[in-house]
Amino acid sequence: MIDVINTLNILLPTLYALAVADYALLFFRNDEFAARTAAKVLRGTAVLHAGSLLVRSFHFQHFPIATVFEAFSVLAFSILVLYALIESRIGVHTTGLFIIMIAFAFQTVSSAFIEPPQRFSARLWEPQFMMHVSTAILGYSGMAVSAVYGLLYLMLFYDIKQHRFGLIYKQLPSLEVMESFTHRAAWLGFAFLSVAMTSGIILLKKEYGTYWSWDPKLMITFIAWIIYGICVSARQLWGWSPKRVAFTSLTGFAVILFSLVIVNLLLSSFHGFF
Amino acid sequence: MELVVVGLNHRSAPIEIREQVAFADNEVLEILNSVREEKRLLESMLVSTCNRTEFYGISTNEDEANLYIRELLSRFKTVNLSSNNSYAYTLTRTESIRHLFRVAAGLDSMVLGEPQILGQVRQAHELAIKAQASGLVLNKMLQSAMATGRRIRNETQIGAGAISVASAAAELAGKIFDDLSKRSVLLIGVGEMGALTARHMLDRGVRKLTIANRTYHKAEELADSMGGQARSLDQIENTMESVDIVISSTGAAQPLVRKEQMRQILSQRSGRPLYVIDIAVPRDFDQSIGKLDGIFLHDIDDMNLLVNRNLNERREEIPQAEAIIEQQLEVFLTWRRSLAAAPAIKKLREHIRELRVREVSRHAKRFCSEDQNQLDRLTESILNKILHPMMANVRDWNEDSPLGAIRIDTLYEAFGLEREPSDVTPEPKAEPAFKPTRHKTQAQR
Repeated sequence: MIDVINTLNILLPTLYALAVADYALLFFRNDEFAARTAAKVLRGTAVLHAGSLLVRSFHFQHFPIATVFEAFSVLAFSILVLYALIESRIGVHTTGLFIIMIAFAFQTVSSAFIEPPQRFSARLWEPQFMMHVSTAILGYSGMAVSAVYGLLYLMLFYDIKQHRFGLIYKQLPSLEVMESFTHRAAWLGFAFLSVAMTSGIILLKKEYGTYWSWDPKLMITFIAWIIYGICVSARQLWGWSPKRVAFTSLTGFAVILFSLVIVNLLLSSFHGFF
Repeated sequence: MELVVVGLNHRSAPIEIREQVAFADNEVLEILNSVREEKRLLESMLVSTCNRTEFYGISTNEDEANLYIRELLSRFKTVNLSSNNSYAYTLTRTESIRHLFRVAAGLDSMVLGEPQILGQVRQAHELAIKAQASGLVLNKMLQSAMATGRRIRNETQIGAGAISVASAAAELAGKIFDDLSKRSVLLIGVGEMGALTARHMLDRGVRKLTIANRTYHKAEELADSMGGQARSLDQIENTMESVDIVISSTGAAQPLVRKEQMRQILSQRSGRPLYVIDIAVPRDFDQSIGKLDGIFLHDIDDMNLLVNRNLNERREEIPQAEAIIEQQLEVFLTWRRSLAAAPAIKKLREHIRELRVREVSRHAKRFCSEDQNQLDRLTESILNKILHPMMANVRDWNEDSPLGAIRIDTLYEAFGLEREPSDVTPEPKAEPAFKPTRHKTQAQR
């Protein structure tokens, strides 16, 4: 079984790289072969990834979130699935490159450093804990997708404003479409992170007898949650422009990345890697 | 049998000349009926659009056909298209077929890759069929030309991107708003260019059009004709608070809207973007307005920039389109070459079949009735086995090449086949130069 897990571990980033190459050919060259195969490669990667996560779960007898690199793989998978849903909804393939690149990056780091977990808590199978971690990962993936659409919105926004009618102008869908997905994905991220934070607070009370801790990870995630809260409501409440919402989404994702990478490496937290 | 094209187009003749040789549908039918009755051409067709009038004729004698078509067009229209006319060109042999394929693909159009020409060629073909002027060769040629046109549109970007100021504005609006059917437009001024741009927006499904003009009754007139509402010029600020797209094309010497006014307008729009297409010269909107966040402001130069970019992209597709034309042309020429040997093949098949039947019946008495049937089937099968690969090779013999013509002649002689006048293979001629033949007038010489 370990051989299968190791093979899948190599195969997954390769498939993600193939998907990136397909979507790059579509974006840069309108390649016909890529147009025919992109969605198939995307679905194939998602199916294989789902299979890989299941195999890992059953073999190591835990939901694959015991280490930061396992969690990165789940995050890559949920970003990929979220993008596949968006693509089937809008029928436009030219934004895929930018989102799948993020998933590819997470999966490559995961595959490069992942190891069988040495020790993990029995809590990993507890429903409340599983819900806390999975909703946090879903929240992060929603925020990642929102940030990518926010970035694409800004790129096209400035191209149109400054009369640059190049590749970005030609290939991206309308500003309104990208604004809509920045907003919807931010909502998804915000909603899941809200559930993750609520279940986290309940777990905190259960484990440590308190509803709050001045833990750096907790505080930074709380800041990201506030930012995305602003992101999803500022348009209606204060009439913010889509440009400002896009910048806010990017800021929120930068905070999440900071929380995932810097805090895990440099600061100590009771919170493990999440 | 060769295709001869005599015509004028936007490159060879100015509009003053082109309009003299433009044909309405009923005139096309009339001239094609006349050609059919005069029997000087085997098949014929006339394409007449605002940018070209081209007469396509199938004949066994190119020179005669060229003179006849020129005389014919001159007879029907009061213009002299005799062989020394500098506006008309003549194309023959492969070049004429390639030209038809290029025309159908929009490569020969004034606006590169424009889609209307395919429909116009189809209509010309339908008129030729109606007049019973087209036949086997022309029908097949037209089918191939239209298939080529469709293939090029599908496989290349030759028809992509807006290539007029009005359509560029609509394209840009589509890059800002996803669904124009939910959007409303304010047109300021009743100038031709502004109205044309607004029409493009309506064609793209814009929900509501408001027209404002200094002279109110002119706004009303245009609004009536386009299905919009009229406003006076002093109402534009209020209107801009609710619309999504503004097209401005007035003759005002000073800007109509300044940055401060626009800032005020934007404060009432709850962050909704406003797209302003200012195609007036001098411009109607202060250019510093473009720096405001909720505004996308484009002027006539921006539109031209986009049009030129799209045109350049279309030009980059020409080599790929030409390659498709060469492929399709080869397929058509292979089919046509098979026609050259067709009479010889038919004669040979009949000749050998006759021989077989004669020989079988001569020896039939030696066999019982059951064996006679076997003999019949056996000899038929042997002959088919011999003839099939032979016929396949003969079909590839090209009457255009000296060797092909000699081979076909040899086939007739070797088997002692009788040759009818219509079976005669014409003498091969050298290919004409690529450029259309433009006969110079005495004055030009």
